Amino acid sequence: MNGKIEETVKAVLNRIVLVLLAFIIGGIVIFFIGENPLNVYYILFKKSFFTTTGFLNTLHYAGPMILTGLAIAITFKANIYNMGVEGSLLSGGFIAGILGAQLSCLPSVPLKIICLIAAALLGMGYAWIAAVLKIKFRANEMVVTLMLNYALAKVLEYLTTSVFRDLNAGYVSTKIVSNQAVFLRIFGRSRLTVFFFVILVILGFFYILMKKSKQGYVITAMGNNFEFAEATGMNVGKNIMILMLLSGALGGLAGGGWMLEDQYRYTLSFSGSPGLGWDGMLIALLGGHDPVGIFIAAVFYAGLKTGADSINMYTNVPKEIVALIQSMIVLFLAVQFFQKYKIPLFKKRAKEA
Amino acid sequence: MQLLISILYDCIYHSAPIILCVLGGIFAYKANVLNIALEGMMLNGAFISVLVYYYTQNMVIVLVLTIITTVLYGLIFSYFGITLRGNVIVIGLALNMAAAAIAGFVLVLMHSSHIIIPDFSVNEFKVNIPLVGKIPVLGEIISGHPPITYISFILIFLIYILMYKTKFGVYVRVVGENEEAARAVGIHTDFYKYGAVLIGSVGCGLAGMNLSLERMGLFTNNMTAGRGFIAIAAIYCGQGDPVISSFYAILFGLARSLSVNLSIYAGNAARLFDCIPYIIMVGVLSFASFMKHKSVRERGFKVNE
Amino acid sequence: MKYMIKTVDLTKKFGDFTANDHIQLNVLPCEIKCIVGENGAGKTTLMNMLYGMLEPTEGKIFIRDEEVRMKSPVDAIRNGIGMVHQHFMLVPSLTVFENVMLGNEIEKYGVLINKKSEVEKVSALMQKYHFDLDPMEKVENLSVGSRQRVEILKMLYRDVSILILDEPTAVLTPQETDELIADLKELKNQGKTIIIITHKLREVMDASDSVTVIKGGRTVGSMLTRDTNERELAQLMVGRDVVLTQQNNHYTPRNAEKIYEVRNLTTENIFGKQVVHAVSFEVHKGEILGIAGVEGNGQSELVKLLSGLMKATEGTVSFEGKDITNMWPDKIRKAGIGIIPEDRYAQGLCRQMSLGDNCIAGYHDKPPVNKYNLLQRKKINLKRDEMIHKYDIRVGDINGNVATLSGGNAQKIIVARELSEHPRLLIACQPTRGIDIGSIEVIHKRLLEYKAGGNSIILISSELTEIMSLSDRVIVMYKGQISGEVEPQQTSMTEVGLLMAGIHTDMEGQKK
Repeated sequence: MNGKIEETVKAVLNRIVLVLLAFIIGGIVIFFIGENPLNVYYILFKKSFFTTTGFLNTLHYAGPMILTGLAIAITFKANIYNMGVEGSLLSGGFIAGILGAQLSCLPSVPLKIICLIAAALLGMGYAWIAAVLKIKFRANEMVVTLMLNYALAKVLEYLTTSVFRDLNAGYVSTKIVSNQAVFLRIFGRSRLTVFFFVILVILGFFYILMKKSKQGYVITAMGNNFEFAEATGMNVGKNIMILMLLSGALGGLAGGGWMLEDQYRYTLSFSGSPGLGWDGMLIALLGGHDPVGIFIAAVFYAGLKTGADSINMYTNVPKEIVALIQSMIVLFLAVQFFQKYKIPLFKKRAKEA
Repeated sequence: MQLLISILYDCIYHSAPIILCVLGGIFAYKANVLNIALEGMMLNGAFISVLVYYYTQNMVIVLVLTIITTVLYGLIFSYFGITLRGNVIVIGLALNMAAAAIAGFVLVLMHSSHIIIPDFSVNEFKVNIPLVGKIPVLGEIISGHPPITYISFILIFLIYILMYKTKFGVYVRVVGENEEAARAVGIHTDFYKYGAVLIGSVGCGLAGMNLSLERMGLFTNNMTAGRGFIAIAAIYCGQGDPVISSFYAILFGLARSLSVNLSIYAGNAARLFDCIPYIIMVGVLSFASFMKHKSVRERGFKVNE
Repeated sequence: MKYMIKTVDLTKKFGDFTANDHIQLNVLPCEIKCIVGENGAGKTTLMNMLYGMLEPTEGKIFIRDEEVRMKSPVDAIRNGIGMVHQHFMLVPSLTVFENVMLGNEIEKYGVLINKKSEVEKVSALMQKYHFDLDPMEKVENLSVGSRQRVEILKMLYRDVSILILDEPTAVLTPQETDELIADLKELKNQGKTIIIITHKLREVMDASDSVTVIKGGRTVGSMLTRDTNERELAQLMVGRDVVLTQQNNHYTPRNAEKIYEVRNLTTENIFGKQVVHAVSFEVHKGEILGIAGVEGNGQSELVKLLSGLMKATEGTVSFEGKDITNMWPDKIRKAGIGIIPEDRYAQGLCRQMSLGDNCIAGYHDKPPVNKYNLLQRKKINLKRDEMIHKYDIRVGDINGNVATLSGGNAQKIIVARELSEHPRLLIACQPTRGIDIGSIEVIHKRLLEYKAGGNSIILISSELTEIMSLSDRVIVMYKGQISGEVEPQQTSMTEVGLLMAGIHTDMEGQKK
């Protein structure tokens, strides 16, 4: 037990340090454009964490990112670089928006269920394409999904501006979903909805999956290297498909849920900037591909994002400063693993001498 | 006929930035350092070149600053990825994010969503080659491109020589194929890996400059629209060979050119044509990967092939 | 100058682990010295320091009576020291001359490589030392023996006067070994000083003038070869008598039933070359079938075929009457076959998992460790503790991951794991390669125990003594085919050596 606790503590400390480092560098930039970094950071965090409504809103925004974070984690941890979570999210959100608007005759619960299932299926379908290309043709999934993302975005753009366009809206969007499709807010002034609890249930499910089930074992094995998994009898090809489909479903659900609890119509900025799928990537990395870590990282990150809007309103600092800090966090994350494993690596080499 | 000329002209027009990224990126590929930051570096090239030109109108300063800043990205990538042995995919993604963030940051400070060079005509940088320009058909296709476009095609030949006929090229390949062998004869492997990444930076910087400044005289954030990743796809398909990978880059250029030229006939569905080049590249990549693995009897996958 | 090379109190530590502890080494000029020790004794660390790949923690190195500090192979070469590594440092896609000239290219116009000049120089060198190679041939097409010659040539080009060879005969047939020894003696006559690192005592007696024994990172003996013998050296190496104590004394009758049959098995590599060609053999119940051969003659590919990691283009495999051709590894295991893979770190263990999790790899599907797809932690720990006890596995942190285990302990886990599922047939590939004597003994003991229980083993090993002492029958592989079958009791090492080189002899001993 001791070894594992020590490792976890080291990992958490590592992350806290590098996040602080990123904030310090961000602070220097803020200073250079003439603002007070401490003031800016205070504004950044105040509303999103230190007021009740603000905190609940933070949870609300964290929701979809928990799902996309999980979507990325289950594939990245297994050495599969699925960049298509954003695409799954967009497809899921789109179909939920369309169905939510068209099927207004259905009562509330069945309508939501249909929308979410459709969203998950479409998200899975999108991931399935990349999975098949990888398994049958050995096409690099990272490059394939990156490019399909662009292709999909264009297709959805086309559909939104022509076939499904809501001509009554002032901007480019699809028809607004019907009332029965909407997830209601539960705490009065905050935006938090019932769907958040659905997300928590899914999180719990994946916690068990990744830590205690056979599938989690396979994920760790594949993450070590594919050869080991293959040699001990885990069919890597089959598992790539399973993991990609799960990832796609999660992405699709994230999009569908987001549509029905926040956006209510599909627009060209449905996923925000840089996109909930990409946010999920940062969260998965920051959370160490661990469900609990992902939850914490998502809440922290969501707070940053909403805080960015506050910065925009109350200071002269562009909210892109947050994006800059985010990219530095990711950058520093890339190397921290090295510091952890330095010494055991040496011991092994010595024994072979 | 005019349509054909237009298609071929546009093919050259659209291929050039990809070719430059490809020619720079193959060295990192051969050195076994996976550089996904090509997208971010190209964006930076596009951004800095327009920004600097906006304030100075001096091409020399533009060139120098573009190269220097893009090489800076390359140095950060190399330091974190090579010296500190970090996960190069994550680093690449981080740099892509950073490039967009920095560009966005500055745009907001300038209170605008794009930078437009005032009084810029699309013909500003176009070079009309005397004599050749007068040849019917062929002249119209070849003449009238900005300088970097021509450079990109000439570079295919020069990079081929660099890769296969010089010590640098040999060493980069050795470092990628058998790093231990390189070290055993005293080759400084890190030096060559850095070199490989930095050549990539220069290529992307020039590509960005060609994309934004030379051709359009404007910059909007994320205008690279995945071209860096297309370059990576082309490199994979061509397995890092300068000529073959450039061929795939030209293939993309052709697809893009077709989509642009034929979309006039499509009316509202014109947007759909935009996704065709990406789908074609996915198809080509799948085909190339399939051919590579056709005769492999070993079962099992390799990580990130 | 008395000594060409002299080390005084040479020490190397990695953290708290001392790989070399105050080593005293003396090498006379123009002699062939062998450095012996068992796997893990510290020989490679010592050589890496002499070649500048590692810097000493303490102690000094003297070359020609001058103290030297070497920070990289370039320094070593400048001091006239060249090294031929156990794992070749060649670039397969480049040609012979490109590999020899690597690091010393001749250029024209300052940037381009002068191919003509380089080829000329390399050809002249090959003539001087009588090495028969084609400079324009790509290294990937060369045989192992030829590749080794390219490595040696690389060093000779740099005009080294001291040549260090690390386990050079590991990949050679007995005949090629003799040729190499002859080559080295010729080089000695041309004025070179040669150091050979090895654990093969017969070669020490055949080739060297003097020998130094290393055990546990220390020098435990240094003498002239003519003043000692194999037995004494072995004693010094392990601190007790003789190297292999386990012998198979329980021979299986020839008419025992067949349980495993391979017919005409063939497969190709990516260039379309048949790396395994029409291989056919059978295994009987309660029998250990050894597959001998120099590494690189198709054994790795054969093992991959039999364990489901490679696809056959022709041929069949059947087990207990059922056709199992081209089955995937999980199905093969389910059919009752255990597999010890060739590469223990890449294929046998997962560095990111704990000891317990590694103990169930490949069998994580089965009850009792798997119930409703959830892993039962308590049952896993039980299994792990059982294995540790039975196989004497030494581990620091029982919950830590396996990266910190020594080669011997890591291998023991794999053997323990596969045998614990009681398969009827075990495919054991290089089960004791590169591990310490103690672990080798444990593993051999368990393997013989397993056979005595009525089970069969297919043993693939490039360590000839291991095969000969454990197997009931031995088949020899050469260039992807079976070149012969022998019974260990009735056959000499020389005969097997000939088969390993593809030379068939008939009853009168005439070469076919």
